[in-house]
Amino acid sequence: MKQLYKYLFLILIVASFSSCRKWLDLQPQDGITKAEFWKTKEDVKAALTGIYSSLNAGDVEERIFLWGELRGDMVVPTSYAADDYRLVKNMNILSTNDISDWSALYVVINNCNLLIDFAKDAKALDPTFTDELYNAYLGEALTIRSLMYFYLVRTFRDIPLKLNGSYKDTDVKPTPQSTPEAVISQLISDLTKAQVLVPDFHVGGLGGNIAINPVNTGRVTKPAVTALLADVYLWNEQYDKAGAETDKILATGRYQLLGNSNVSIFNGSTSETIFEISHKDSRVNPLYGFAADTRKPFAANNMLVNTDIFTPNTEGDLEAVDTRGEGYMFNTSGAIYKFGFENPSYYNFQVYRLPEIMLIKADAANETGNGGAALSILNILRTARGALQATQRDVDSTDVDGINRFISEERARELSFEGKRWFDLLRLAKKNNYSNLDVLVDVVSKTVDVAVQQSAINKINNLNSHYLPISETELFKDTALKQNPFYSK
Amino acid sequence: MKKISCLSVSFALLSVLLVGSIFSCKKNIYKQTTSDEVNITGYLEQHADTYSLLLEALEKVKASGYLGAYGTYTLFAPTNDAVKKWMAENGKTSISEFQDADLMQFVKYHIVRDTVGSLRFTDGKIKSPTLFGEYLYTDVQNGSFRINKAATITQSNIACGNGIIHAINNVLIPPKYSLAEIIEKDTRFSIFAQALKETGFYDTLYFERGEEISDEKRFQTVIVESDSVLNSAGIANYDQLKSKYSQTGDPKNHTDSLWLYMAYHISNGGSYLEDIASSSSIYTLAPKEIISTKLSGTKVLLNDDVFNGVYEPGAEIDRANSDVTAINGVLHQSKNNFRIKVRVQVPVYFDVASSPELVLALGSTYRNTSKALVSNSKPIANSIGFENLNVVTIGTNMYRYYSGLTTKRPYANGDLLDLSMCTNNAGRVKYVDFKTPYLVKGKYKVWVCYAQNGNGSGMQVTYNPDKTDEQVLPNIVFFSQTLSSSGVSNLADPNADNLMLAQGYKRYFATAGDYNANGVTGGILAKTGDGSLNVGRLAGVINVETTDRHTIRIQAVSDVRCASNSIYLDMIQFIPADDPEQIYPRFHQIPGELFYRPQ
Repeated sequence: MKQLYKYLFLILIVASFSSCRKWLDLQPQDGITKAEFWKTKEDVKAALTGIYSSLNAGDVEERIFLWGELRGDMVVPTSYAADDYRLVKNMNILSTNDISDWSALYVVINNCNLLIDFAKDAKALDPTFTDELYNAYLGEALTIRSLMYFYLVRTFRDIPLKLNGSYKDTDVKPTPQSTPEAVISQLISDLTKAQVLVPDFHVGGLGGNIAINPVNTGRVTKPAVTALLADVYLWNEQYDKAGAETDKILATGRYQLLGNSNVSIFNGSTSETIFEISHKDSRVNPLYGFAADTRKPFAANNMLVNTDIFTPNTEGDLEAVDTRGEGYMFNTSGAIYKFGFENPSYYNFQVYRLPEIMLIKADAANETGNGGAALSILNILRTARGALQATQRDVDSTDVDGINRFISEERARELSFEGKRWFDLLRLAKKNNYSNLDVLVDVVSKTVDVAVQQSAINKINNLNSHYLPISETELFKDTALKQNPFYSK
Repeated sequence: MKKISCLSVSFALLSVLLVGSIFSCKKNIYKQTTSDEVNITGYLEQHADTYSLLLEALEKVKASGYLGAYGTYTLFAPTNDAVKKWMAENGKTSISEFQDADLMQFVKYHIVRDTVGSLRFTDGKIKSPTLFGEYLYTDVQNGSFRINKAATITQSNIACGNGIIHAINNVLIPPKYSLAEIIEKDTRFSIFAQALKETGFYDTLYFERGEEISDEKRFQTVIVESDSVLNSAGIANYDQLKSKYSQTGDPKNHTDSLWLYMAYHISNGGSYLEDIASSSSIYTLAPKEIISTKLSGTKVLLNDDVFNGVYEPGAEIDRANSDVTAINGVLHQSKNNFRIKVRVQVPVYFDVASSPELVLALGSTYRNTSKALVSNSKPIANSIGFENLNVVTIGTNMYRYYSGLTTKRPYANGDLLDLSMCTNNAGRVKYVDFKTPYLVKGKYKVWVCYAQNGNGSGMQVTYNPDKTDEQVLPNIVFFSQTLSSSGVSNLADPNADNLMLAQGYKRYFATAGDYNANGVTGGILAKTGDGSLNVGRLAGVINVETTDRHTIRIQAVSDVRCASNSIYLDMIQFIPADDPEQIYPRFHQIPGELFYRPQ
């Protein structure tokens, strides 16, 4: 009996010495079970769904809206907005400002990276995984990754370009920033690759008729890749290439303008939609609460938008209205209807629509010496939307700068509140070695508080200030990151 | 028994071993401090290679003690290079060669007793003064914050336990001269300087540190006109200035126009352009005379007003040569000549629904359709204020426009403010404030003109509420009353207007028989019936002491039945109290159509 107790205790003691090691668990504690995944084409499909799911989770669209609109002139923070956003409006940004949080986009990027890295493992194991399907998945992941990087590079300029997935702690390594040139050239090469991989459409296509289908607009198709590539070329001032890409989309003949603007375009999946972030039967559109609900933190800057963007007619037809202006796309109290009318809103978020492709083409035509073509494209769009006489710019077809500004104004009207305004202003300003910096000075002098107006004008003249600071949290986590010099003082 | 005890001993020993072994692989390292954060002195000590000279100075004047203890400070820390430059300029080779008093001044001028991060910097002064007693000025140049236009911040917002450090690349030197001396020394200001001396304002603007002076006069703002500005206004020298203005011949006399002219360029308090542009007026030393200010784009304009419907272009501030800091204030320069405007009292017929700010905010809605007056929890025009903005019915306060010519409850100019106000309901607005048009100083009768609604509340009218010249007007305006409430039984009687006037009531809307130069007849009211629904009610008499835009508050003090949209406010008329014509002109839906006494 006594012996038994002794042995029992001995065993207990021996066991207890190793109590803090889980020696029975052979799985890595810090990773997903990669060995169990990436075995069949269904696994890869699930990973792809995961990418789209991280895209419509809400945070990505909020970032796109904040980065694209808050520093522009068409949106104002209301009394419900956090102080950080008011400081952004006043060009008073520290690296601790929430505006610099880029994590949502890097989450999507990592999901894409994992698929790009490991889909080939499944391909090798699953004989039913066709080349066609594999290519489509790979191309979609490449395109979405490029879309995320395109927003990041335009917002932060020098960003870490991470092209490999992280699935365990040791994969997280300090990543120094790449130059914007390197990022853009990576995007161009990825998108050119994806163009070959991604199919023209996912659903339909019988007899050459491509059905307008939520799957074809909510998932990346070849026109979606092409649209993004055209946009990247435009940003990179490669106008002939941008023009060539838009021609590819227009040549498909599957998209058409819907005439007068109408909120149903923003509900989604219309003949104008090339790519959208879908919310149908899924999660709600986060921007409804952001800019449309009663207690919204952001609202349309009615006073400026009504006078500068949608200037009312003072002669001619005084009753005429632009269907993209107040009462149509936003109301008198600044609620933006592009994100829906009711709570919860399942409106899709429009990333690329046909009008934007037309405007990119106009931009490219103008810059390549074909101002006449640019003006006639503008005319088609303006006629369809019922643009007002007062917003017509009488410019000569040889007046490159005049047409540039006309296009920029038209983009403001057509793509209002879609997270594109600031990037348009910045692109116009930085054209030809910052020859139009006055555009940004003008915006700042109109939108910044009186008390800091002169400071803000002085700041915007510093080119580094056009890009946001790297967040303090990221700098702390990754010692390889270098702060934008404008914010390091 | 013995066996048992032996067993229990080994049992106990083993238990101890067992318990001990469970914790065997944890290392207990406890942190002894609550924070690694150092105080300001501690930070400077840690970075002695950059701040050793500053630290030496702080220690010499015993400031390092309090900067190392509790408190809220902002230190503008000049680096060693900056301090060396400063020492060289003063012909010194080490900190110890300085007098303690000089070092004390140096240290005090670099410390603000508040935590001022760069987020709080504006285009003007830091709102808390330095320990030295004078303010620091901030602006931005080449993308970097600058202090006193002299030192650039090289590293900002270094957080310490007891405050913030901003590293600067130059030592901050307090201004050397007072306003009077700056003007005197600048040859471009010779006429202005002489006028200052002749009128005695030179002494007002002269100040030496240590002088005893009242707080309100410690800092002053002067807007200077250079010789070339005066030349282009036709004044070649001081004599011409004197002969133009000095009607008494004695410029020191406070009723002399030259004295007033100079007083009009000086105000109490140190206001940088940021302060000037954010407020709407500067109160000058000329008694009760103000300069109106506004920001147009990036220009700061003085006296650029629409007065009585006439646009009067103003003087522009020369931004590049302004915001000059002196010992006792700030100096600005104007690009144009400006002077006190002589104004005579005129009646002001204030159509509350057509104030310039509201018209601007309404845009295409103006005289077109209805619009809520509050959007995004803010009034759409800054000339209107509500108490309070968070009530649930705030959205029902509307601008309304009726295009047709109706004879029942018409409104001047076709528009009105349709308000939901009550006194005894938490869900409704209590009062609404209006910024009036310019009122030239003098006494005015205040007529509140409305269209009757049976549920309309009783309203008390207050002039400049919460200001030193607040005046609560005696008559409660009951928006539920018709003209019959005046007690005049026969409103069609030819003498009814005078009888009503005696009771503090009047018609403000065109009625049959009134004279209109253009022969407008549409929508004319009868004398009785519907014609009694548009009421002008005398709230009382106000004494306007300053020619400026003022505030009128209309506050609900009694309810009939607290109903939505029962206040139909059309106009507020300010008619000089001694003006015998209080009744005409009368108004009409068509803008600009006035109706006069039948001839």
